[in-house]
Amino acid sequence: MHIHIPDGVLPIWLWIAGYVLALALVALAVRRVRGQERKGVLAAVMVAVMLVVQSIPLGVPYHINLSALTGIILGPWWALISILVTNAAQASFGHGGVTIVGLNTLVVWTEALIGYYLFAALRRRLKSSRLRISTAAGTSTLIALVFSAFLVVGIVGISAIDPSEALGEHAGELLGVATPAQISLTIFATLVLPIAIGGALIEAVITALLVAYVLQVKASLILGRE
Amino acid sequence: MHRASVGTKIASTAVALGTIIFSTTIVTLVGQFLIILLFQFASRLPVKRLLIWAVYPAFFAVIFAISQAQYSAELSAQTMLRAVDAALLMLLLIGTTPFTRIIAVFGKASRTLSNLAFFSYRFFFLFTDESSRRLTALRVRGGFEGAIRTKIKNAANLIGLLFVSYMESGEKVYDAVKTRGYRGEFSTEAALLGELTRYDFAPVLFACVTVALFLVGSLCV
Repeated sequence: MHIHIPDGVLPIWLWIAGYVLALALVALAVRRVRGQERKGVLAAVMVAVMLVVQSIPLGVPYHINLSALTGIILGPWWALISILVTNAAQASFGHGGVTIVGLNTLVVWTEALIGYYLFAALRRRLKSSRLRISTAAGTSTLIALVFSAFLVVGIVGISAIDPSEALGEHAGELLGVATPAQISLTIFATLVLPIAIGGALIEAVITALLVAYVLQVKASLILGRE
Repeated sequence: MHRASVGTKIASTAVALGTIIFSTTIVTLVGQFLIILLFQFASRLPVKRLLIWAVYPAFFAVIFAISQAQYSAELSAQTMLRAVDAALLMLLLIGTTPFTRIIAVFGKASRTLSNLAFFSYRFFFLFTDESSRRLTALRVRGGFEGAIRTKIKNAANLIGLLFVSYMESGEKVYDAVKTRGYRGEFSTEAALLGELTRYDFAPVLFACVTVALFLVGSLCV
């Protein structure tokens, strides 16, 4: 699930930590993918696909991301780089705060990561049949998205921690975060989780059907390796 | 704003964004909203359309505004205004600067990231055109008529078809650029902070006005 948190809601230390961690991981990913030019173009296709599908209205305040599918197709490192570029492009159009790009990248990457590893594990167990592989893709997507929905709630929960209680009276002031974010976690979770879980179900079904179709016409996209 | 250097515009946007994030009064945020609109108007951007785009982040900010309502109604209003101000600010930057030039500036940090962004930018427009063409074709052939199961199946097949077609387009583009000598890097000549010209006055003025407004707002609290 993508965090649509506007700028200025989360405390500075949290979004800076998000940026630092995300950029450190991206730096590592850039080193790991060196020399894979063809896959880089495939990653660019996935960025464009993610941006295009997010503009498809579903009639609910949710849009599909295809982040788990991105993980399945690109693997964890290219998926991370693609997700950062997607989030930065979206933030430049006001879709999610600019300060939240780092945290968003980490959250969406979790979906790609879970999608990738879970799909690989399920595929090994389920052997190869079109129905089973597409079901594995759908299941991996569902689990990845539900996990990330709770992760988002967890991040908002962390933002509500009083730094002076957690780190000592002066530590909070030193970090420039003397007050916690004033967000009711109960109300936030009540509003967000039903939408996110319902959206995850829709995305899981779409991913499964999409994988079934792709397996029919170009299976190497899902099963092939570079 | 259009003719100002990319570096000046990015710097002034960063300053203005900082003032939006740290503003704690509704008056300041409303003032910043009006200033951004004024600069959009002066830059001859389609203000009405940009305001419609800003509704999207405002819609998602509602969830946070509701979650904050128990603390104070003012806090909720600030969250909504911050979301809209920040979105309009980014649209001012994007509306006055070609996206490729912004990518080129950030490409100084990582070639891999900028290459990916360049390719994605190209693909996005290709794919958007193709999607709308095929969607219209499916609609006129009655693809969204009938039982819900048929509709979902047709929609998934459409997405699958587009997906495969996008992948093939991507491979064709890669083969084309490789034939022309692409070895994993695009060379770009983007000066982050070139020589300042008189056109840079507008973004500098914009940053100064937002900072002044922020300081006045902070002193009045």
